[in-house]
Amino acid sequence: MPAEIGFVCIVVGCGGLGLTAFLRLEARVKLLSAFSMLANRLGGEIGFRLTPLPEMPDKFPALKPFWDKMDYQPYGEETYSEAWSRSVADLDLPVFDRALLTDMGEILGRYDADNQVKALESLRKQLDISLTEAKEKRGTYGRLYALAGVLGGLILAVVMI
Amino acid sequence: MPQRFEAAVRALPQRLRSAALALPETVRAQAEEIRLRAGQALTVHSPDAHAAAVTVSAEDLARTLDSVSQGSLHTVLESLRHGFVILPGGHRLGVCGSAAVKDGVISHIRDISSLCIRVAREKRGISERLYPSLLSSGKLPNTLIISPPGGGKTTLLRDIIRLTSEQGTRIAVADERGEIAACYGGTPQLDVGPNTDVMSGLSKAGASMMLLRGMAPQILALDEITAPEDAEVLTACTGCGVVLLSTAHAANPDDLRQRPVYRGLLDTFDRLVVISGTGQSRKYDILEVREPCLPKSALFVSS
Repeated sequence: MPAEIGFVCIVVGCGGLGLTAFLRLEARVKLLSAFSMLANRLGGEIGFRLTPLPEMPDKFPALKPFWDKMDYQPYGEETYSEAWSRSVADLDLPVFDRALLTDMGEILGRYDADNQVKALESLRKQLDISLTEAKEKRGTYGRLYALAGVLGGLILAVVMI
Repeated sequence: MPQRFEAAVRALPQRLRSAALALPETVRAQAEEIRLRAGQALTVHSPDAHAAAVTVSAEDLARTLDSVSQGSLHTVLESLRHGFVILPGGHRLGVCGSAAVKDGVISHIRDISSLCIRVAREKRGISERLYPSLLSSGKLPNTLIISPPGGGKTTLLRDIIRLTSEQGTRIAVADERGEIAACYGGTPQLDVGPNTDVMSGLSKAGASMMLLRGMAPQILALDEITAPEDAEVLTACTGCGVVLLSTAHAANPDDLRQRPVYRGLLDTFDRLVVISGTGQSRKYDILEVREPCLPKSALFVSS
């Protein structure tokens, strides 16, 4: 009986690892897609309406967990850019993606509206390149990771038990 | 009054804010200006004295400006180009530093060297005794308020606007520099009454024409006529049947008459309010501008 329980645990554990890897690829696609849309929306809000950045969480709730973590307090000790960078650092994304988003925080609120719009547009294009790459990776490796996890678990369990 | 001070220093970094709030209550209550200069002590100025607190760094100044704009420089840039930003509560933050100029236009002020917070002071009711004497057949005539700089023209103008507005008259205010209503986020931070429409951030001439076209005011109010185009637009407005309420820098009617910008304007107004003296000894004289055919020496008669 303990051998059967051990077998199931190894298979489920390895399968879980594979699934986690798949979900990380999925989450990256969702996050990059949301930030690309945010960059687009920010371009309109800043360029046309001169919207103050602290109003963005209400206008773009798709990134609510990000905004919640950012928790920018007007008249607080932390600047908007600092709060943004802190929140980006907590995102489960590859270093290159995080660097792109940190750059986005450096742009926001720093220039006049026209220059922010230009910089955001250029950044959005880079985000879209990352997004395409993330989608390809998800398509190629996503199911593979999940399957490899379960199969690897099976093989490991057979070998060990 | 200390609450006003508290609101005025809200945008300062914690270290400076705490130091400012630790100053004696008498200083905070009478504070008119808070000055911050890189490398110098933060100073609070009141009519009778000034008090100093901690030393200010260049980083403090940059952080204050970032805080004022809530990390969104684009929202205050236009105002910053004119050298100031309106704060919540109607306080004004004057900014000094190196101007970045592009195509002949100031694009930004960088390397901030000093900031000055002017604490907003509303004096509700100062026009109440004066107001009945201003009226002609129960209505406010075209009125110009004059005094030397710092004489209290804008404060009086704001209170006349509030009082007239409270009586149901539609007033439009061309508040180019935000000194009358100090709008923040679309809401006047200083009381200008319930029937008042405020257009800020535009030149007086531009705002006046937009207000006339769009808001159909009974009275048009604007502060500090200084440029020939302001005078021209006022003359044009009288043809639209709107009553004018404005201010100008001049110590007395003779002083006013000597200035080329105002010469053509004298016929436009029916009443002059001349403010003299300061503080508690401030005096308001209402003068009537008579028919233009009268000799100039008899143009102004104390009422």
